[in-house]
Amino acid sequence: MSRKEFMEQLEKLLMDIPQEEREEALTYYNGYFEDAGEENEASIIQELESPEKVARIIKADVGAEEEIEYSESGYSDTRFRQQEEVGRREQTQGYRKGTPEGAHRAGGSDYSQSSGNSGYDFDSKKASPQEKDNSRTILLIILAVVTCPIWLGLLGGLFGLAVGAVATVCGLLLAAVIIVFVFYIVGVVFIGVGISMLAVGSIGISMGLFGVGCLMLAVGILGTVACVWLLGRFLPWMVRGIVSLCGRLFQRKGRMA
Amino acid sequence: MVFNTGAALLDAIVLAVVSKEEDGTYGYKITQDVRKAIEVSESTLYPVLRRLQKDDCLEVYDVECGGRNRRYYKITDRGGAQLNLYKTEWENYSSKISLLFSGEEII
Repeated sequence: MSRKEFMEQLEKLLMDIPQEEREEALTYYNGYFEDAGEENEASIIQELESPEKVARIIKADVGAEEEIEYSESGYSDTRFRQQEEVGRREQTQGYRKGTPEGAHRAGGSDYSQSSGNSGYDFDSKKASPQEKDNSRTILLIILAVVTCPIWLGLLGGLFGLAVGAVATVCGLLLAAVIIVFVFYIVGVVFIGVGISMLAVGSIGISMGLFGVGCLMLAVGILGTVACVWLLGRFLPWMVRGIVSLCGRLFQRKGRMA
Repeated sequence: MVFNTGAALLDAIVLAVVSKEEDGTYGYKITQDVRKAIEVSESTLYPVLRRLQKDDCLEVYDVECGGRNRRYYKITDRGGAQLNLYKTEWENYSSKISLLFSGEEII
């Protein structure tokens, strides 16, 4: 890699730091190459290792200064801290060459400078459940909106089923009332016909008709009693059931919202 | 080197190197001078110089040199005070350890 390539790559890698910092760093390294002279170019590039490493070390220091600014958002902060740690480790390795195992042990003392970070750690932990909660709520809302054709259909179906059931019961009750009513009418007619038959002809037929009419009236009366009982008992029970069902539905909706 | 050079010691060494040059000195020379004392990689010193500059311990100025501007670093009063503090601390620190190593009692 030539000096030109090295500097171009370094500039690209520093695009995400403030312009002033970038220009300062590029001026420094350009001057460094100039002062070292062309004959030392290759050895300097070799010792700098890579533009990535140099950029990391520069950013690590810029990052350390902006910790406070970034502390409010956990995400950027952790990102920065990672970068910083990488940078610092590289840096300490730099002036502790030849003691690779010492680098690990010595880490503690070097990081002590950035021990203020532990405070951010605590903050970010505190903030994260809230964030998670919010995102879960948003997710639920999105899910509800997306699936609304399904659950609206289901709700409509259930509502239809309930209305149908109620209508069926009401119809059956009405039918019972009509049947009872018919029994009354037919009974009265039979009795009337039976009486009129007395004048016309056979006592047997008229008596038979009279008897049937009386039976029908009796059935009608029984039916009335049954209907009244049904209406008296069943209707209030049904109404109460519907009311409580609706109440529960609305309550659940209220709780969901 | 076996021993770890912490950030404060590195600051102190750089300040000492720069303070030796009354007319100021530049990045490449600082690196070479620091390397006479301790092992540092070429990429180590830029952040240190930048930080010391921001902390007003060093001031920078450009000098025309061979058709281009060379950036010079010079120690400030504040940098001098800081260096004196470091020197005292180092004296304290190193003398105690030297005493310990020599087997004498620490007073």
